[in-house]
Amino acid sequence: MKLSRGEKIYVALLHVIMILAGLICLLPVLNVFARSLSSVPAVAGGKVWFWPVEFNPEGWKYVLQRTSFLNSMGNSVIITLLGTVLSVFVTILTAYSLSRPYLKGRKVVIYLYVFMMIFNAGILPNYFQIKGYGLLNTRWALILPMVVSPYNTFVLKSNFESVPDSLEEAARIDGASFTRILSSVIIPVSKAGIATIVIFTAVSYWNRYFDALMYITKQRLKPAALLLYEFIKLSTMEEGMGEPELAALVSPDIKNASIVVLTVIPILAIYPFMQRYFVKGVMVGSVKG
Amino acid sequence: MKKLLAMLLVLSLTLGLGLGIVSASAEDITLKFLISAGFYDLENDLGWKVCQRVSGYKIDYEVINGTEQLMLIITSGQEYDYTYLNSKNYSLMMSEGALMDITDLLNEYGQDILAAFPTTWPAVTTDGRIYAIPSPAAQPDSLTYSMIARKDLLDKIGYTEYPTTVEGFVKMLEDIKAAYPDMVPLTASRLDAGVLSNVASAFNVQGMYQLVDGKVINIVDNPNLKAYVEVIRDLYARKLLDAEMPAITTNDMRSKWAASQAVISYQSWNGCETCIAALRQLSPDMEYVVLPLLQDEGGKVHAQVKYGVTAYGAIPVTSKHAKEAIQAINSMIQIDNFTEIVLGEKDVHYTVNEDGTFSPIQPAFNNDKVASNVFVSGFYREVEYPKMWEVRLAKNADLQSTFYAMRDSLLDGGERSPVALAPAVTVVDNKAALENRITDTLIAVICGTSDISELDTLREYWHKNGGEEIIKFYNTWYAESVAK
Repeated sequence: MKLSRGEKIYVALLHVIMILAGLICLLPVLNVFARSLSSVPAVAGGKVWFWPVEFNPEGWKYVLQRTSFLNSMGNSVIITLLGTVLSVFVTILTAYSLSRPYLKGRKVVIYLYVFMMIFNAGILPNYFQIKGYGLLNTRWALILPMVVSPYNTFVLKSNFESVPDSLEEAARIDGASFTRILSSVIIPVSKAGIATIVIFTAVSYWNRYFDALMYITKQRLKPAALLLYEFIKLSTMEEGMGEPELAALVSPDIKNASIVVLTVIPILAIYPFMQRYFVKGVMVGSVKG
Repeated sequence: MKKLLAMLLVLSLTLGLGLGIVSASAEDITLKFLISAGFYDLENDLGWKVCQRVSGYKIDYEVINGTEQLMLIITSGQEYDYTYLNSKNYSLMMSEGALMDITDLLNEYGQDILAAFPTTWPAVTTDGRIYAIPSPAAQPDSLTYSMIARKDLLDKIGYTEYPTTVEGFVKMLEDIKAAYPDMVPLTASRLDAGVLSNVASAFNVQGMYQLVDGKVINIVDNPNLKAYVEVIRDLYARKLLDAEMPAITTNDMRSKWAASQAVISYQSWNGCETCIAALRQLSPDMEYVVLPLLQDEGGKVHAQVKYGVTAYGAIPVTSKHAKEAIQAINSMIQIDNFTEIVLGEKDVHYTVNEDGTFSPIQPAFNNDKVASNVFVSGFYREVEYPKMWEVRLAKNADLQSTFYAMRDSLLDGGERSPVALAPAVTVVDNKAALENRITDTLIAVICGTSDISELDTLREYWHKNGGEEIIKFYNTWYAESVAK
């Protein structure tokens, strides 16, 4: 198909806008990355833009060796892995049930989910509930409250609804049970949707610090996001005097940039693995005739 | 049968009592301490082990992440045996009635605690009862903020001595602007209560509260406030003071100076070492100097020094082991134990100099003692801790020299805030809001967005909306406790 002149200009314009939007998101990240690996005078002098100036890994060393960062990173990995597996499992089951029009009482459940999306009990009731279950100062306090996500359930539900009924009917005629239909028919054709949910869930588990801010007082159980929050909060405080002998090598700016970069890298790393599902998840040729 | 029953009863009672005593022994009680620690790996810190050993108890150190969490912990009635509190949280907990009256426990089990604070107990005493341990500032009687100037640049334009009068100072800024048109003569981040201490010194404007003629006054009632603000307002209007002052963060302001975009910066000694090091790498010939405080007509300087209680160690009312907590702290605060927790082992982590000061032994000190002072946060010994703290200062020459230069620039004009040891204000609940309003208004007047007459409006507003009660509270307390 040949594009007309006007269409070409339109497509070119779209590309320019997309690239600009991409850069707006990317450049601040690059800037923080560059600052984390630059020398103190280069950062203080405002010379660092998008590439490290006078390479200096001391900020990274400081974060990795002098703080409890690695321990917190371990916590975040455990919470994110376990949380994502649990949450995606629950979301798939719920979304599948709710996507079937013949489910009795479906509307009521959907209304309840919508209600949960809009209204939240607030900090105190949640805190007392977590305390009541004896989950304070456990990793479960950071995992369980987020296992059921109405928003993700609805996203996946619409995804499952778009699977043609004929596919399910065909499977039923062949004698497949609901579990079989879900695992062998629905999930394989909805990989793109599920991959999206996996990313949503993993990123939100990784980034959440507020639950930990409330429920965790043991230093050893803090996730990386909370450590990052405290790091940046303390670096602006007068009382939080650092280690002056490192002054020429690391400034608060560099420390902050380093911990931001180190916290973000692992979660960024999962995107490439998920990427292929976005492309392959389409239902090509699944219904014939 | 009765005999048998009686014997059984006696037996079970004895057993029960015995078990009771066993379960209450030091080994079986785990004390839960809440401290503020940030991001260090506490369990690997030597201080953790030392505390367990010297206190005789197993202590679980947990970390408060912020005021919200603290309030949740308290409202949900969790049984913590000790909590570190900053001033804000102390006021909050006091007004909620969440802190235990520890007067009797201290008298019975805390003699060493009582002896460790010769002057600061009034700050935690309400109606004759003690509600916390008063942990004083680690740098008593020092000046926190002053002007650090580029000596090399001032030398070049003929300033080898630095002005001590307002006129002389303004003239110097004008000369700087003329000689270095691309640089900001004086940079500062947002001024707390509008106070630029070097200039305010000449007007005897010291801070939010100060003593004038034996009475505690708020800055809004300072008779010289208007004259002082007019000078700063004029500096700002003529761009002698950084136009970005109201909005710029401390870090950005320091970066500006470090990038050689400003000649003088108004900053704290705490953290100055980074920007000095950065500037030195940028221009190796650079030198810096702490400028003097300006003098009043009588040739005297006036500035408020750091003093008073900056942290509090308290026991929540929900604690089940208050007695044991006091006993544990009493052991930890004994001078030998305290020194070991904060500085480590003698001749391994530190040495004692001839003049009684301490020097760190590196790298052992840094490797093992990074966060040890957090284990005693809330009960720093009043007399000894400042000396121990100077070990950290000694780790960087720029930091050390700036700290001492600022302290020396006080001459004999350093004054302690009259309310530094006052108990938390409980007569109004909007004290912080009122103080924020004062800073906001003063900054607005300095920047020219509000007229100078706004100061009168501010004074009226302050008095009408709780200021009157605050100042009455302070003056009553002052007359009763300090003036005596």
